[in-house]
Amino acid sequence: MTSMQINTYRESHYAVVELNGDLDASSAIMLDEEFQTLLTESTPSILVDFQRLNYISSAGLGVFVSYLDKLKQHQKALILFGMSAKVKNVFAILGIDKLLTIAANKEMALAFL
Amino acid sequence: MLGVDEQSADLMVLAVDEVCANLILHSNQNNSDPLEIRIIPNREGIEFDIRDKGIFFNYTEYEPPDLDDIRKQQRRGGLGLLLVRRIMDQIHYESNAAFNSCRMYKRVPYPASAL
Repeated sequence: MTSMQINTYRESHYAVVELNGDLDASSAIMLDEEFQTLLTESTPSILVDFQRLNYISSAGLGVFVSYLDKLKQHQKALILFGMSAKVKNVFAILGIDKLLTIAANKEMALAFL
Repeated sequence: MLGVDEQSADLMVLAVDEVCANLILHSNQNNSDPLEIRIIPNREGIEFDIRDKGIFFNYTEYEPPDLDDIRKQQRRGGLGLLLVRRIMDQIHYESNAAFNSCRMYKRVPYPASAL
C-alpha cells in the first residue's frame, strides 16, 4: 500500500516510465531505483509519463536533478511528458524545468528522439 | 472553504509537506511524538504553525545551497527549503521548552466575495 506505483515498459529504442500517484519523500526512492536500473541498460532513451502523477515534492524533483549528469555521461536522453499544470508549476518554481526536456504528450516526446 | 485559488492552495500544501518531511527525516528520528499543524487565516493571508518536539532546526544559520551545486553533487536533497522560501512570504523557526515551531505565512488574494 504505497502512494506511488511505477510501471516501466519498453518500445523499440526507448523505455517509458509511467508514474502513478504521488512522488514525495516516501516514494521518491522508487524512482531513484528505477533510474539506477535503466542507467545500466543499453536503452538509449528514457521517457517519463506524468499523465497519472498527481503530486510531486522536492524529493521527486531531487531524483531528476541528481540523475541529470549521470544520464549525460551515459549518453541517454531523458524526456518528460504529460505533466499537469500543477506539477509543471512545481518544476518551474526553482527553474528545474529549464534543466529538463518537457513535452506536452508522448507523440511530441518521441519527436525529440 | 476559504476561497483560496487552487494554485495558491497547492503551493501551500507543498510547503507544509516540505517542512514536515524535513522535521520527520532530520529532527525527529528518535522521537515519535506527532507533529501538530495549525492553520490560521486572516484577511490578507494564511499562517501555518508547525510544531514538533525533536531537535531544533536553526534556520538563522541556514545557507541556501546553489541549484548548480546540488546538481553537480548529484544530491537528492536540499531542494525542500528552497521551494518553501519561494512559496511562502515569511518563514520563522523558534523554540521553547515545550516544542519547536515553524511558522510560515503566505499572502493570498481572496476573492471579493470572501471579504
